[in-house]
Amino acid sequence: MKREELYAKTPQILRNILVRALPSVVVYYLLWYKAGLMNLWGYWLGFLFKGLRWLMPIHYEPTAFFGTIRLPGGRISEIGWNGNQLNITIAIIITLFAILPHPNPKKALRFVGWILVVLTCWQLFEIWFQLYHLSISDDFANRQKIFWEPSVYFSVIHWFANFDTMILRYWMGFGVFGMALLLNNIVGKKLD
Amino acid sequence: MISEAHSKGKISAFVKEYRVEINFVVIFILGVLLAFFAVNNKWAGDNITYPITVAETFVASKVLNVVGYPNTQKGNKLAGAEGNPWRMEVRNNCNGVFESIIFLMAFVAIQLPWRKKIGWMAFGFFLFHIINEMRLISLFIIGTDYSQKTFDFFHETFWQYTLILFTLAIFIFCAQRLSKTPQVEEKKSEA
Repeated sequence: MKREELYAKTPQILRNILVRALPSVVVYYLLWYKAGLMNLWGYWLGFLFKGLRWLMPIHYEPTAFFGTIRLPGGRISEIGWNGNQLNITIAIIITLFAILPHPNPKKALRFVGWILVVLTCWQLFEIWFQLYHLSISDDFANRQKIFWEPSVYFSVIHWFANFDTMILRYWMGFGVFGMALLLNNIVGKKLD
Repeated sequence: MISEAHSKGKISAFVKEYRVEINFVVIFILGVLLAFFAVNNKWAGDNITYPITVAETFVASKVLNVVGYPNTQKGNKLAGAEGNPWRMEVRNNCNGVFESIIFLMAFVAIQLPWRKKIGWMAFGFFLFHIINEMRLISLFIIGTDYSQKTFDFFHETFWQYTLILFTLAIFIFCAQRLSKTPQVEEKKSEA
C-alpha cells in the first residue's frame, strides 16, 4: 500500500481501533490470562534462553523468569522478573496489526512471521537486560550481603533499565511493529 | 560492483521516498531520549514530577469526595476515610508524565507548522490528562470495592493499555485535523 493511500485511510484507521483492535485485544487478554498464553509464551522464551549459553542461565516458571547468579564463594542465588510485564508490547502489536489494512492474506502472514521474529529477539533482550541490571544492583548486593560500590557503568545500565521500565515496556510494541514492517518491506520486495 | 551500486541506489531511493517518515522517527527517538534524560533525575523528580503527581492526586481526591468516596490526601497518597481502609500511592508511572513525553514528542516530530500544531498539542495534552485523572479515580474506586487481584489487573494491564490506545487515537485524530487546516493545505499545494 502506498503512503498516500494509507494517509487517506486515517478515518478508517481510527474506526478500526474500536471495531477491530479492541475486540482483538480483549480476545488476546482472555488467552493471556485465562487460557495460559502467558505461560506458553514464557516457556517458549525460556526454551530459547537455553540456547543462549553465553548469557546468565535464565529459565521460566509460572509466572516469572529467573536468572541464576553465581556469587563470590560459590554460592548460587536467583533473581526473578515478572513475565506478565511482556503483555503490553504484544497488545500494542495486535492493535497496530488490526488497525492497518492488509489486502493480501499471504503477505499478511509473512508480516506476522517477521513480527514474531523481531518480538522474540526484543523480549529475550529485555528479559536478560532487566535480570542483568538486577544482578549488579545495590539492592541485590545488600540482600546477599556482598560489597557494592557505585560506578559509572552501573549508572548507565541503571538509566537504560529505568528507560525500559518507564517507557519501552509500554511503547516498544510500536518499535517492534515498525522494525518488522521495515524488514518485511526490504526482504518482501526481493521475494515478490 | 554493479549490484553494490544498485543496492546503494535502492537505499538512497528509499531514504528519498520516506524522508518525512525517517525524519519523524529520528526526531521522535532523540526527543524521547532527551526528555527522559531531563526528567529522570533527582532534581527534576523533586521539583517537576513530584509537584505534578501531588496536583493530580489533589484533583483525584476532590472528585472522589464528590462522587461518594470520602478520602484524605497527603502529598501523593490517598487514604480512604469513614471506615474505608483502602490506601493508594500515586507513583512515578501513574502520573502521566512519561506518557506525556511520548505524546508531546510525537507532535514535536511531526513536520507541520508550529503555529497550528501548538493548539492541537495543548488540546491533546489536556484531554490526555483528563483520561489519566479518570484512571486514578477509577483505581481508587476499584481498590475500595473489589479484590486486590482486580485492582492489579486494572492497574497493570487495563489502564496501561487503554492509556496507550487513547494516546495513539488522540495523536492520530489531532494530527489528521491539523493536516486538514487551510494553512497546511495551502502549504501543500504550494509545494
